[in-house]
Amino acid sequence: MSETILLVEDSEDDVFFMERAMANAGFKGKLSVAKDGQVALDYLGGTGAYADRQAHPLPSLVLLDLKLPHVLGLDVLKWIRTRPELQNLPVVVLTSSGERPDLERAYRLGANSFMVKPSDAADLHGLAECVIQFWFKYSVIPRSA
Amino acid sequence: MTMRQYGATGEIMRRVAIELFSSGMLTSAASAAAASGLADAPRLHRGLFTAGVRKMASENVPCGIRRLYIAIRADITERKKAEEALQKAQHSLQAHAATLENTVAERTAQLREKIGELEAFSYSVSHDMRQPLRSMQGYARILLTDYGPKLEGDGRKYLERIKTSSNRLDRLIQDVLTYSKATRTEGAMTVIDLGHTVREIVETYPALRAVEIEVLVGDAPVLGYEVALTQCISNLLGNAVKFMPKDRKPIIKVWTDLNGHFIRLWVRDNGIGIAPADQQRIFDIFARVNSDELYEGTGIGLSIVKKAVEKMGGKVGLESEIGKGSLFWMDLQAAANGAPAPEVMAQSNGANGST
Repeated sequence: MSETILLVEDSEDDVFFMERAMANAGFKGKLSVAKDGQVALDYLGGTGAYADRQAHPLPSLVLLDLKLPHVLGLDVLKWIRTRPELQNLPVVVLTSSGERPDLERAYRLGANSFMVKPSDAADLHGLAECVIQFWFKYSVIPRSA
Repeated sequence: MTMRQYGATGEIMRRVAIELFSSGMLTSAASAAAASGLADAPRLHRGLFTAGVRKMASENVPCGIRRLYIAIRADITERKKAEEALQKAQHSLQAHAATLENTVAERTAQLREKIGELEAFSYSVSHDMRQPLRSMQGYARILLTDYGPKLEGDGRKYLERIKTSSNRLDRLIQDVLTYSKATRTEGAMTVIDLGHTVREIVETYPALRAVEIEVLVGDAPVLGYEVALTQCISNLLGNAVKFMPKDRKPIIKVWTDLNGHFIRLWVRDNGIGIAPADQQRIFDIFARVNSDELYEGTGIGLSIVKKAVEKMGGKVGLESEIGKGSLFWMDLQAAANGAPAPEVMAQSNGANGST
């Protein structure tokens, strides 16, 4: 089964690093990118162009940056948890600062994990490997119909 | 017998003078007044009977005289003046207190705002400054991996330099963040077992595990912030191990003793030592004594220790001799009375495994 990950990330560099790390870690699925919070809402809600679920399948995992233009990451997370069809969607917060208030709010809002972006590419590779193994090999996650 | 008073009725007068018709009656009147409980400390003076009056009423004063009229007159002009002045003073005091309260509330609000700004600032530092830095580190690494073998001349060396410098900048930013966190730690301190904390640090930190560290810390409960305290101790231990001549085997000893209401934690090393001229400024932020080539670092570690220990109500200091080693200490508020080390537990890490 081909997995789809939705990467919500506004930094082009970080998108590039993550794509590279995912590929190096052996991820064979589809890595969709939402470059701000609003795009993430549109994608997950299936609005406009994203209504085509063939081209834009609902992800089985969301990697969510917190500091985003338009709609903040935590608001995206809050919105996801209000949607019945997305309530069980695993969301991994991936941010560059592990500030305590963010950390606590993210878990309170229903994040499944909170990760601080490593500065070292080798660590990012390790993180990508770990995320893939954990979520797609060892975990059983709810699938949307 | 009737005793009549003149003056403001119903008020308690502090001092009265009683004029008596006959000076021969003074003695008996005075003792009668004292015995009656109407007056305190009766005093006779030039035919006048003065006393502090406790009760003001027309009462009988039995003093062996058939009929005695005692006129009590009190001059309350001064008192009234004093009362008015007092009232005025009270009003102005209240006004001052109100102004003061407002000022305090204003300052507190300003301070909160400043703290908020600081927090927002450190957040920006951690996020916004590290973001482009991470990109630089990432691309330098990718360049090295993908194109390193194809680079000619010094190309590869220059790329390594970019990588090293960006790593250093990253460490600086993180240390500055730790420093700013140490300065804004607040809330109630908890009781921390110093011995447990030290042993845990020694066992956990890879740089410390490889070294012989003698820990002689018994029952030593102190007041502190756990995260900050752990940071301080690991900085001191880290320095003890780091500033060591290349060919010398580190011997590090940690112990405590009681210093008044404080428990003093000592960390002794046999490292390179610190010259007297440098001993004062070594706790300043960014202060460095050694070149980065010999001992790399950001010059923030000890300033974090000083700031955090002061936040916990303690002090830091050192004794050192160049070439022979350093002895750092920090005083932490003792959480309970009693000697800090009644039962001494020894622990040692290292290749020889001695205890």
